[in-house]
Amino acid sequence: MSQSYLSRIGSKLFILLIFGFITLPVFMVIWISFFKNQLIVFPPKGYSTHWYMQLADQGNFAMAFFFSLEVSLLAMIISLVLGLLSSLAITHYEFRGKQTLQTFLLSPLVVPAIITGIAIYIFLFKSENWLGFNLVPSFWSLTFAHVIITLPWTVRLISAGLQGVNRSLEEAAVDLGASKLQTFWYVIMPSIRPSLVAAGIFAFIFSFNNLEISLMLVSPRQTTLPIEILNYVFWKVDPFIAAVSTVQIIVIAGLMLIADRFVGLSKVF
Amino acid sequence: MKIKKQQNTQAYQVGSLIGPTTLLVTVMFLIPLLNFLRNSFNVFVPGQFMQTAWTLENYHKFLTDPYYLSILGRSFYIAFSATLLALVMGFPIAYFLARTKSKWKSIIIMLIVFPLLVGNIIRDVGWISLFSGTGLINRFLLDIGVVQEPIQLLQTPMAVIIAITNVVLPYMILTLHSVLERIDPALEEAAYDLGASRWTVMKSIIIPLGIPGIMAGTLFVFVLSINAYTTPLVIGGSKVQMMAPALYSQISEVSNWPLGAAMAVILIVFTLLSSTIYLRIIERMSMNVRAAGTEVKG
Amino acid sequence: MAEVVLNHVIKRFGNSLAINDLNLSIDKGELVSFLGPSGCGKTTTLRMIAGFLEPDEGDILIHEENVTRIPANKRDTALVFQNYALFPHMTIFENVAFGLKMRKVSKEETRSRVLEALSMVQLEKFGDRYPRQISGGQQQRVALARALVVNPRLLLLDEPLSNLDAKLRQEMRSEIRQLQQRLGITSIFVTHDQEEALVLSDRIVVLEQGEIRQIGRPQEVYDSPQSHFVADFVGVRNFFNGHFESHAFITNNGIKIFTDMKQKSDFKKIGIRSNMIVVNPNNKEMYINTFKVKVELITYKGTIIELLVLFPTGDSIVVEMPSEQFKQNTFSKGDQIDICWRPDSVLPLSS
Repeated sequence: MSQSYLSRIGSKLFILLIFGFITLPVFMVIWISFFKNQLIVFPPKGYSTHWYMQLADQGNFAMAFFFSLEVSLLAMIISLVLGLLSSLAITHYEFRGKQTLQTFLLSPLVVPAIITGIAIYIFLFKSENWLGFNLVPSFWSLTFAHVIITLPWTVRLISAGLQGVNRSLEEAAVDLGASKLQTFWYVIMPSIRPSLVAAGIFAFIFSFNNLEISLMLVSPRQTTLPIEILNYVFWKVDPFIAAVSTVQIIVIAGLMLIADRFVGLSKVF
Repeated sequence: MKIKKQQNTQAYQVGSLIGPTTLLVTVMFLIPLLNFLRNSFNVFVPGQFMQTAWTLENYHKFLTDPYYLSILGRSFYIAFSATLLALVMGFPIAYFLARTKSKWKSIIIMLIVFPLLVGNIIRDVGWISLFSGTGLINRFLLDIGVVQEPIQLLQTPMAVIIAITNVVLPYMILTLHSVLERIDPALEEAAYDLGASRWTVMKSIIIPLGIPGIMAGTLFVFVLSINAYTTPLVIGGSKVQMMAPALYSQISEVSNWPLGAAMAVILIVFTLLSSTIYLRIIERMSMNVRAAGTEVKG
Repeated sequence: MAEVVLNHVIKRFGNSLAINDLNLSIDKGELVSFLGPSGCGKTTTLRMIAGFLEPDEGDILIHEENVTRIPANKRDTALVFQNYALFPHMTIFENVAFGLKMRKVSKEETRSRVLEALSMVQLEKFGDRYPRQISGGQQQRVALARALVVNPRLLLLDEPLSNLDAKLRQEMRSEIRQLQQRLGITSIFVTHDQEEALVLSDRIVVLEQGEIRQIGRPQEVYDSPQSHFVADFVGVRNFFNGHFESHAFITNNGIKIFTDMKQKSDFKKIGIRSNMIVVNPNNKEMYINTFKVKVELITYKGTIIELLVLFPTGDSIVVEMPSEQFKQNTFSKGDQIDICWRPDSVLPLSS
């Protein structure tokens, strides 16, 4: 009896430990961002929020943040629209090679992102000579490169959402006289709204976090936030960069809470 | 005639729905990828960029040079260890999640997913603050007197393995969870009812039925780990090189596109190959288990 | 004048023939049931009439108009779905109003027509609720109101009662029938439940493997099923294989059963309903078909007792007797009893 009690306590403890492990690095970042010290030394000399005050003065981080925001929002919108259209074709039509096409659209998930990023850069770089105008680095090539890695998520999530819509609901609408477009607007859209929101948020997050794809496609003057952080980390790791990171953590935490409202997170992955 | 026309309108509808996406993925992903991998057969001429050719020289160079081979070997070893660690740590959590009726479940899942969404570079900031010479771990070890001098933790394979495990663990948990959740709890109850111990239930019910999840999870996590870029770069540095950062530096620093492309091909093929072998082994093992099962029955 | 006509309709799915040369005509105001097991083609036929499937060959006419190639949203039919298919994000009112909205009916008219339809199914107070907030029976009524509000020429019902419990099913059954007769709307009712078909329909179409096996009024189908399949489907449980010798049927095991066949026939099979068989009658001389059998199994079923009895030849049949009669006429398992039936209870069947 006592042995099984002990083993139960033991397994609880083990699970708690693993949770600690999962959240440890994020917790560390947030903790350090409130250190008073210039450098990371334990124990800290005291706590303050003055690193956050300095964020506004560091123009390049603010610029990188807004640049990332712009790229990610646009990549999100484009991959939502394309993802919705493709998912409609995949779920509502029968055609030859459908399975292959579906795998093809999801394939960017399998290839290492760093390779995809290099490949896109080299291809655009070569096409540049051939076309005669600037492709890399440019805002649009970066954005579309991001779409390549966010698209698999929107296709997956929206397809799943569309598959979840009971087909007889659509038939009922058609039976009552609705056209294809009307059925889409009055029946399908309201039913998949949660998956659309989730797909949008995840597309945004995966774009916003992305580092590998962007590496070769950004210019020194206009970089994304993860790359700006990476460049700083190569130089040094201090409470200031922890504060920058915490801002990103907060943005993503907020988005995740919204996404969870619309669909359970466990259903996404 | 009518049917023909109908097929045409359908083809038109499908085309206009999925055409733009297909075009984008072709132009921005497939063609660039093929174009890049084609470079692996070109010749690198220092100072002259590269010459178009059909040669296996770059592959030869990679596969005969112990330096490059050690990068591949290390990548495999680190990915393998991280996968194993993630499985050992992830299984109990996934099982706990699959069985808990706690109202906190959705919050727990959020806690698991959250670090994954935060981004690797930010987690690496956290790891550095733990592993560095003045980091929390060294401070702790010094304080309790286990060591007199700070020990080297950053730029060691162990640190990279731990950091990568941390990155992939959520994926492992979520994949396992989705499979374990579908195992009917009544099966376990039946086993307990028939006098099985906790361990027997785990060994003879949960794990065999969870095999598909274990397979999917380990495979997915292994691929993610062997392709890791940011973590080996930041935590491992030049001392613990892995394939992804190494091939990137071939392209961006050495400007040896052909060798970089060859490394990319090798990474992709190696990953596919080891996944296939792994699947075969598991298949054979589960076939043996099934054969044993029928023997007992017979 | 026929309101709905199916003319040599053929439907294939890949290589398999789902509907094979179906011909049927339905009169105005009639309620016709499609009865058959799953996979018999009843739903496929209904979906072709609704316009969700296109026949490979043949024509479908509604009110003398050939609608074969007209899409579902342009057809004057309304379908009540098996799972009701109520729009979960719309209120009951909005659900019922949907068809009118698609037809661009004015706001005021929509309102009055929706309220009228809802009151027809006694749900006028539920307009503001959402489908998940009402019971299964109420959802069923909403689905009916939503179909009827557009005044369709043809009402199609796809196993609409199969998701309800037994008691509610009976209630809804008579409600649908009353409503259908009051409105005089031509209807097709798909079901696999013989009792439902018998109670509801003007005519029953029995389908098997994409072909019509029998069409007739409920009583006709029940009293004189023409084939083994139909007989089985309307609850006949005892069958004998054999051949006719003048008006007597000789089973393969040599049992001689008298029938009321007037002329020579070549049916190879007969059926006898369990409830047409009498046990130990006082006047057994009155019956020509009398057999001594052994009781093998007695099953209590409330108002009736079911007996499984064994002929000396080894054939077994099922006999139903009223419980009351069983109380007065005690015998137990293993006893010999007499069973009798009249010649006109014998149903000659084609196989």
